[in-house]
Amino acid sequence: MTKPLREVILSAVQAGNNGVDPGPVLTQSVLGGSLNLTLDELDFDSLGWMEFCISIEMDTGQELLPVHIERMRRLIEVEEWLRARLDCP
Amino acid sequence: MPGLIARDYLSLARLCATQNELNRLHIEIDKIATPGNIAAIAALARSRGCPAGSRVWLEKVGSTCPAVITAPAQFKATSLSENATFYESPNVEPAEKALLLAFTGEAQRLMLPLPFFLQSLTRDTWDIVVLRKPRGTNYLQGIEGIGNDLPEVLRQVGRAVAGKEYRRKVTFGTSGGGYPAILAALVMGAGRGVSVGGKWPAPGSPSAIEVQQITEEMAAAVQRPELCYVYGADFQPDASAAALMLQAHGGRLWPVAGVRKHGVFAPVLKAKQLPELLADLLDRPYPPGGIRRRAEQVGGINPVGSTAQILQE
Repeated sequence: MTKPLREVILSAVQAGNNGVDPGPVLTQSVLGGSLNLTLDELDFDSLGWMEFCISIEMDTGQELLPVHIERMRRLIEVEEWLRARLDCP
Repeated sequence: MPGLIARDYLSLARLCATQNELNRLHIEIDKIATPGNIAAIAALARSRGCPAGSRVWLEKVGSTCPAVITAPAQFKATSLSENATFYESPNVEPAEKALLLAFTGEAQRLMLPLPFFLQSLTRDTWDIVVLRKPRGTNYLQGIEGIGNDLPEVLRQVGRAVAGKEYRRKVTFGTSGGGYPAILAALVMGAGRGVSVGGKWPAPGSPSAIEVQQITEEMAAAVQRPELCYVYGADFQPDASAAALMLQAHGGRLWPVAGVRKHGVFAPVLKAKQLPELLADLLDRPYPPGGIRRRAEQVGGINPVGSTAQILQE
């Protein structure tokens, strides 16, 4: 995986938003912030979460699934889940 | 044809190495499949077996909208282009049917998997042209493979169904397809135009400019359609957009009680009220005036009075 993890997550957020650009505030929050954003704040429906997970898998090869997302509250937990499985700083 | 599609599905499903790959397959199927396609997949899966993820998907379909599998509404699907499909109710003459021109949203859906939507329409009443726009594009600037602007898209659709004399035509759109559906109704002089969670073009955007250019076409329309703007009653962004559309074109607002999100149809389907809502929006005469109240239970909320606010043009 050559894409930085925060960019992977940003792409996934865009995918979950039906491909619509997340906007500068959310983009900055994901790329440069603490990722303390709650998953509820993303306001994705079930289709959006499937697209989010598909995007994560396409970029990382890791099989994040909606059932995993259901056990998470904040976006930082997605990053932690990925870091635990990937060899990245 | 449903049997052929079912065999194709099982072949593709067995090639999926992960659940996400299978989800991708299901997402694509949900954009175009008829209820008959899903029922055929379910039947073949029962007789030949299927991956565990397929079984989970079919069980979810069966629990969400059982009739898709047990008594599927019959539609014959014909591809008009990569971004348009024509669904015909068989065995019914066009003169006895209405034509629905449907503009999907950003996810190329009508806020629901298409089989659920088709299943929820009044039986043997509708032929439907479903338009899908590629992500990041705007209907007002046309659809790739069909036309370079909305009026040209409508002309091409008209040519595709030429010779079929429908008793009425209705346009319908969800989310990013909502406002184009309203404009399409005005341009083509449809009987009715319905927006569900439609989005108002940002000032100065290419869409706003397209709207201005389309108004000349609208002026040529002979018939003034009934227009209806549907939205979750407790979801302010869509309520605001609906109010702007109402201000621009007249018609009526239709807030759906108990819905707090953009996606109107999921809670209504869950409450088993989608066929009723679609019949109200598409088939039945709109009330002539005043406030109409109907108690309904949506998304598990206790019954509340539902109002369709009708503002005369």
